[in-house]
Amino acid sequence: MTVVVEGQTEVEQWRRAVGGDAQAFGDLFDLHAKAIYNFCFRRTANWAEAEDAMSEVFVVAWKRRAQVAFTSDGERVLPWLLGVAMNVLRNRQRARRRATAALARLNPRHMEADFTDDVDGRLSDEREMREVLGVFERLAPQEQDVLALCAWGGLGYEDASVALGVPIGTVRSRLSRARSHLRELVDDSGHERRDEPVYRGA
Amino acid sequence: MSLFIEEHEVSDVLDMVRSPAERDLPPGRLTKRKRMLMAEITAPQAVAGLDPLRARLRRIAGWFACLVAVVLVGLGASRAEIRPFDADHVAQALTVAGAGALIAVHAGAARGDGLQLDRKRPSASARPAR
Repeated sequence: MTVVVEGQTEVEQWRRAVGGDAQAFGDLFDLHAKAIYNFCFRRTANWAEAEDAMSEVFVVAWKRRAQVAFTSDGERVLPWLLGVAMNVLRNRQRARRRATAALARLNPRHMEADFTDDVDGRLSDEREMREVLGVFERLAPQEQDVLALCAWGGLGYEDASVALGVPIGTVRSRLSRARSHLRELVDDSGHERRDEPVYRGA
Repeated sequence: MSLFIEEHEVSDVLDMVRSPAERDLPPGRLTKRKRMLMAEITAPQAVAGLDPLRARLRRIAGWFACLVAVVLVGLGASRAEIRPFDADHVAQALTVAGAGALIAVHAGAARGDGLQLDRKRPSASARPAR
């Protein structure tokens, strides 16, 4: 599916961005910000951190815009952006240990959440997501990546291969392993799969 | 959730990684983030992009200075007439220390070339709203 922004396809918009057109990149930001934001939340279980990560993803994407990889079918850029997001999140995770120590020295009053609406809903999301990640993060990192892209990023095999920079066959095998490992983990944890969210509630 | 998951009928995966519904950014945040992004990418150094030649030259200069410093230290150490408190040698040691400091600055600057865009601004959430 070819996405059209401001009368131009994503590819045309991106080519303008590569040529230095910041406005074209801004239009692409408008188009994909929500998807990246929600994807980052699913890997961090923290809306505020997801917002910071989303911004970083687009800054990194701007710096690497000449290296973009479009999907072959609809020439979409979202899979590549999700791949950038995964790298950004991985780097942030590595840095988090150091940052945690630094943040601990800050005055707690400066660490309050900076949104005031629907706080309950967002806090509930974070609690629920942390429980999902508690099991999810026990998978191998490569399995986490492919499962996150397919289940949360909504990508197919080919798009995931673009995002990860690996062959489609590798995506298929990793996803298959991820499914079986995840099933084992869920069974071991004693949860039952049912209509209600599996990990809801403590 | 994922169209892919639905198409491939892997509902067990859907259940196992069920996550909260998607949300928009809090009101006003998308605009603010876009404004920050536009400011970031339209800054002169971002528009120009990294200057790979300049960064490479700086890195080469850093390594060359390192090599010179090593040679100087080696030559100095090999001289039999070295005296610990000889003023000339103190000056020589200071020169070597200065060269070392220069190397550190060069190396730091070369490494920082690729990171300065990220580091020059504090975290957005730490800044007051405009």
